[in-house]
Amino acid sequence: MTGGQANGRARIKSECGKDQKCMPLEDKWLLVPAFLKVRGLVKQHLVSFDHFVNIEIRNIMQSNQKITSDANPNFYLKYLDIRVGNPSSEEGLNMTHDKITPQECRLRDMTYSAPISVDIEYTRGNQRVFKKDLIIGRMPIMLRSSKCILRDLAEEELARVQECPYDPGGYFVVKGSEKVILIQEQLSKNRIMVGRNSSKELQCEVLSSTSERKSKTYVTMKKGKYSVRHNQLTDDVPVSIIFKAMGVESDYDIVSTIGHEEKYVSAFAQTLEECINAGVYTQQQALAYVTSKVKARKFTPFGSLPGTSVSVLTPPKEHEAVDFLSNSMITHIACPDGNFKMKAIYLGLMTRRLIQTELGENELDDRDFYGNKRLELAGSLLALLFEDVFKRFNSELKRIADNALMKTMAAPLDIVKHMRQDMITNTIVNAMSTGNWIIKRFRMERLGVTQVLSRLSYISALGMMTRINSTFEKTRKVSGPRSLQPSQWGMLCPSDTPEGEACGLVKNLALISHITTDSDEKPVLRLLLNSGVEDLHNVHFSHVNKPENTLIFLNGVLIGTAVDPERVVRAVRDLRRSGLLSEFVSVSRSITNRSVFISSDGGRLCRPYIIVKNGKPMLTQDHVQQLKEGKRIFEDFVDDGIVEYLDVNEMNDALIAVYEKEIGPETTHLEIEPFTLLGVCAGLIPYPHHNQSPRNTYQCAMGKQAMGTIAYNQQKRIDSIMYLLCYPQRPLVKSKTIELTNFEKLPAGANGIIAVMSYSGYDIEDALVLNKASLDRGYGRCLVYKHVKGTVRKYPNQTFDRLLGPALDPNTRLPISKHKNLDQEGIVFAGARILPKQTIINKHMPVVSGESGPGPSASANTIGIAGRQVDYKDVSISYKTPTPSYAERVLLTYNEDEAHLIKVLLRQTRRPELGDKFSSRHGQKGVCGLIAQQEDMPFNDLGMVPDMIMNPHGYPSRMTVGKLMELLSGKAGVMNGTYHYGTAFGGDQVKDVCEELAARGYNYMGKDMLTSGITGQSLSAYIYFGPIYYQKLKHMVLDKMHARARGPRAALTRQPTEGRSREGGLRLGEMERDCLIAYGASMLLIERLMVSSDEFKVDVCTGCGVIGSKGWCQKCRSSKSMANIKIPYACKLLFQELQSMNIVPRLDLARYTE
Amino acid sequence: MPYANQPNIEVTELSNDLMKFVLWDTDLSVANSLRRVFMAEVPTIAIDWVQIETNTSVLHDEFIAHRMGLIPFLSDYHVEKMQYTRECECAEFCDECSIPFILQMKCKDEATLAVTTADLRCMNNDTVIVCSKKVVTILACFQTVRPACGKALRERGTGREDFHNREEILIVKLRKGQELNLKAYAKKGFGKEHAKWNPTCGVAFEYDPDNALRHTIYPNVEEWPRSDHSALPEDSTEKEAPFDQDGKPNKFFFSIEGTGALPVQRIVTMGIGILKKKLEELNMALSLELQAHAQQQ
Repeated sequence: MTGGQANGRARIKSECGKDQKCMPLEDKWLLVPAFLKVRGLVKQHLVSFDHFVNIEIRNIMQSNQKITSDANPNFYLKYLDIRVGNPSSEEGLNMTHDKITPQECRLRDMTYSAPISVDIEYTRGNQRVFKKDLIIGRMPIMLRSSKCILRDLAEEELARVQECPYDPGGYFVVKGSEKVILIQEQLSKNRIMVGRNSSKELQCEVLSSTSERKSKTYVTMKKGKYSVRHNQLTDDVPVSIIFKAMGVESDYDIVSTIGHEEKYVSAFAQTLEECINAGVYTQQQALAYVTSKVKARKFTPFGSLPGTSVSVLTPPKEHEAVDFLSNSMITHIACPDGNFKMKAIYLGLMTRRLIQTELGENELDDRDFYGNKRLELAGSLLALLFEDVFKRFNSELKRIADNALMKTMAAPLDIVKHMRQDMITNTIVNAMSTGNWIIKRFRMERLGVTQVLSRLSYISALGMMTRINSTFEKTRKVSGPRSLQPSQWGMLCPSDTPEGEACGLVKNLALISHITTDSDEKPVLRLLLNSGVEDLHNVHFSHVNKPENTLIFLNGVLIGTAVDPERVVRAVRDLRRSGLLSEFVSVSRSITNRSVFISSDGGRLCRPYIIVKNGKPMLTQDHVQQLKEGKRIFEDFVDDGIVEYLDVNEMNDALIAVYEKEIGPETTHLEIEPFTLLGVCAGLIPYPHHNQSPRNTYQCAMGKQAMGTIAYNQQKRIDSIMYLLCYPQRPLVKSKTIELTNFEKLPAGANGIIAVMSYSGYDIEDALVLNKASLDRGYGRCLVYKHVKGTVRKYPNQTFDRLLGPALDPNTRLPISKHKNLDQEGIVFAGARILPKQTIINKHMPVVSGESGPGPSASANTIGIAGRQVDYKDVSISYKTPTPSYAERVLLTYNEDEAHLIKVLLRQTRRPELGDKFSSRHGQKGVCGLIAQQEDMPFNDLGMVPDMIMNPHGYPSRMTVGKLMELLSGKAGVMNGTYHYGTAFGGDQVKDVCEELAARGYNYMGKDMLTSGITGQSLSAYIYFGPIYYQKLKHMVLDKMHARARGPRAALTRQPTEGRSREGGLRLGEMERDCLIAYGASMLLIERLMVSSDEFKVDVCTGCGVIGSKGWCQKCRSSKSMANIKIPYACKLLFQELQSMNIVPRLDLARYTE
Repeated sequence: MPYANQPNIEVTELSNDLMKFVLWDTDLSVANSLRRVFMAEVPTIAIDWVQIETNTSVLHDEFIAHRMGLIPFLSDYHVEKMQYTRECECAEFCDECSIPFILQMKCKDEATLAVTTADLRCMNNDTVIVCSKKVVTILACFQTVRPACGKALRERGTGREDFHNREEILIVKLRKGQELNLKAYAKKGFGKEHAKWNPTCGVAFEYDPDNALRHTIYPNVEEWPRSDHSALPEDSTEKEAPFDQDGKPNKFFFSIEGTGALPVQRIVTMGIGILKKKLEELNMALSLELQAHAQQQ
């Protein structure tokens, strides 16, 4: 609680009594769609990318603005401006195609990118030259960002460029595949954290980060002594020596920075003695001491460009210590002109915090607290990468300039000619297509930053955009980072996390959380200094630790102290609400640390709340009405101080009411709608608040595998795999989230009538019984699209791939069966039915052959090109799947390398079969165990038959009450012809729904009396019967079934290959082997492990026991005593390998009969 | 013997779409086999073979073929004259076992064109017997095999008013420049093979409306809505009849709704006919078997 509210509280108490409750605001949830129009879901990716492309890239340019040469001081190159243009593509010789669309890039395997152009000023000889619009590289463009052509297009215009209006954007198209830069979670930078290290010692750490460098500084306590640890120091250095090195020479000053109180002095006394022990009294001595501990620099710091060290004199040794203190230790505290005062105060604070924790006055900082986390988005990750490559680009230019200017040349150096585009383009494209983010200057190497956008279903794509990846290693067995933190409330979805190793590390954003981008801190700083913050430069160290002073931090940097922290907090808050400060500036207090933290940095998670003042929400029914009428947008609510964003830290200081009725005199904020605390995937679940929580988590994982519709442009796409449903349906029981995420427009599933009963015994263990007639009529019928790709290239040696038409059978003059579906161009024709092993693209590749001259090898496959004979090798692409497909479309185009690109889209239509996987929206998956005839199915008094029978044993242990409620609501909805709501923490109530059912002449509990279709007798039990939305999951028997009798073998071991894709054998594993051994079935063992695997006959010399060949022992030089035995080939291989290592395995043979 | 006497039947409601009757003095197994035969073994005509010449619509070939298959056809006159393809002597298709249709549509306007069952043309003109012009039209509407929807159903006339406005069944919508050109054969089949040949929509079947036999155990009798066939007095507070220990199902309330492929009374008569035929064939087989036995001895 801040004082502002505390004052308010006193007033409220006099004004309104406790009994006066707030009236619920109707349709308050309308704020959520209004919010989603401007922020949330994928908007943070867009905002972040826009920030990078429009602002950050310019900052990067400005901090690397000038290139000079050591060889010629007159030479310089100065960047004046940088900008990212509009998406275009380069089509060969300086041709650009300006009208490139993302869909074209997807189909043609290109990168959707825009040129990065700069304006420069440089010297050519003695001339000063200006150049405008010089392209230095290409930047992949995020779809729907401000640079994307899709931005602000109407639905019809989107259809014209073959894009889906509901596609969220926020991803890139790199080399034809859609790549998402996942949100990366990190510990926040520039904050003091007290924790324990791996050996359980207390330590205080600060991860400093500025645009130039990153460093980690620790203050540790060992045997009562405090010292600084840093990875550039070979050894821990006592804190007192560091203080002295920074010019704080007197012990009194040192103690002042930490605190004059007795407890601090006594705790620190031992450390002070360290100085004396080390013989350090003056700054000079301290610097010398530190110098001896600083690790020798192997290479020059990145800030100064390489090559300088040659000409510049090596600085005196002490400079290394000064350099360490000013540039490596706690780098985020600047020390202008060698003034170490602020750094000393900060170091003092760190030590003080450590001592406080030691004494038990303060608690350890919680690393898992979400306020201590920052999320990195595409924009900031790209900025890191771009700055790195831009610096490398500049140093490359400098190197060229140095080399060129050393020599005297006829023509003056024109540096522009050496500015090549491919370095920047390739680095960014490679990083994005592999996901390996290598930032050389921070020695940072992160893998798996990007992922291919999953297009299994619309929800899976949307869910991917909200995914947060943690940098925490998956192998460590610590539960802290994985468990759900209370501070994640409303920011992250509590349900949506994978199971298994990444559990709790991969998270998903809640519906209305937003991630901030960096905003300017100057206005905040000015405000702070105007509202009573005292600058520390002119006061003594001890000032900081006086109990009446509160420390004011801005983005982790100590700004000054204030006597009245209330005033500071109020000032920031009021100005933010009035719109004079960025709405994402947050302010929070820590009473224990006497601090006020103000943040304006990027990557904080925040969430909108309705402001409550004097026990009354600022939002009124009139406002909601205006919103309904379209007279207000969400921004207006923020500007008018009705709604504000709270980040995790500020949320900790707020008292938030979930419902209007809970508003008390102390309440500061009101939740917009509780269902928004769930994410996109969990939002699909009807009545999730009635389910056991892991079930919701399972559904979050399964919703991403459900088939349905992907996007409106699904017919135009050629994806490597695409699953669609023939007849997808909107769910009968929907939720607000479903409406907001357009799931109804792009659904994945179908409403089926379910009877919850036992039937036939083929429904045990979650198996489902399907009605054959329903399948006949199209229930669960799906389409599977796959594509086959081939390129036809030209090679530098004048040869090229060729496509040949079908080969003819010499007798019948008809195409051979393999080539039956080829047209004259050698590609399958659209509409063809392709059987296994048939050729799809009949491509032949030139073989690098010897010299020209018609040799004897000249055959039908040899043609002469430019006087040379070229042999062609058949590299045709054939169809491998065991079930036939139809060729839906054939695309002929060319890619960026100007090779012809052929893509064939193959289609299969599948009806559900035994073993196909289905799931409801409650984490209840099951496979089809039986397909029953309609007349055999149970029916109700209307003659209605279920589509699906589900075993009731699925319920008691899973406790998915939500599913029961979905059935009730669905049934009532069907009877009324309406859709019912199953929104989380709301939705239609069971009582009302049941009454609707009863009014329609149905049983109140949703049960029906069924009659057995087999006997015609009424079932003795009443059956829970009604519609439930079922998803068909992508796992289908057809893709998994596999058997083998004989088949391919691995070349090395001659054992059967492994895996379905290689037509592999089924392994008799070691546990199965153990069973057979225990049972004593030795002949079966021999058969399975040798005869059916890699049986091999060898000749063994009975004399020496070494393997010979063809009845001859090379060792004994005789063929006298050879025996022919059968051993596994792998065994023979082992013997040979051992022999190659000078170990002779000998076989000791004896006759079986002896 | 309780069922030594003849089973009785009483039709309580009859139209082309719906038939309700009560069957009594027979066994549950007989009643249930009737129900099953109505659904699964009464033959109708449906498209079973589609050859697509051109398809530039948004739906792919299999999708359209599936949709074509699900169209119900007026099969009253033809189905009994037709042969099952598997029993027919012809090699592929003949007039005995199949009826050819063509569908040729191309959208030339800006507006979307809905391809419906009305655009499906029967190729077989032999089915119309030419007498006089008036007769032709009457016969045509009865005797050609047409999709059981829209105009065809209206002409046949149904008992229920609201069903008169039934629309033609939509197959696919075409945009300007899109074309659909296909040839299809309708064949005879029954519901067991594929649901498209099922002539019924719902076959309701009830016995013991007051649960006197206690085949079902109601946990809470008050919760259950009363059956339409209940014999309990209107004003009685009792929801269940008293338990009849020795009772057996005797009276069966049937309600059959048709898809339009066959008038419902035809479904019932054909269903009974099929059951009868099955028994006759069984009888034949048995007598042959007995003869063979006699010869052996």
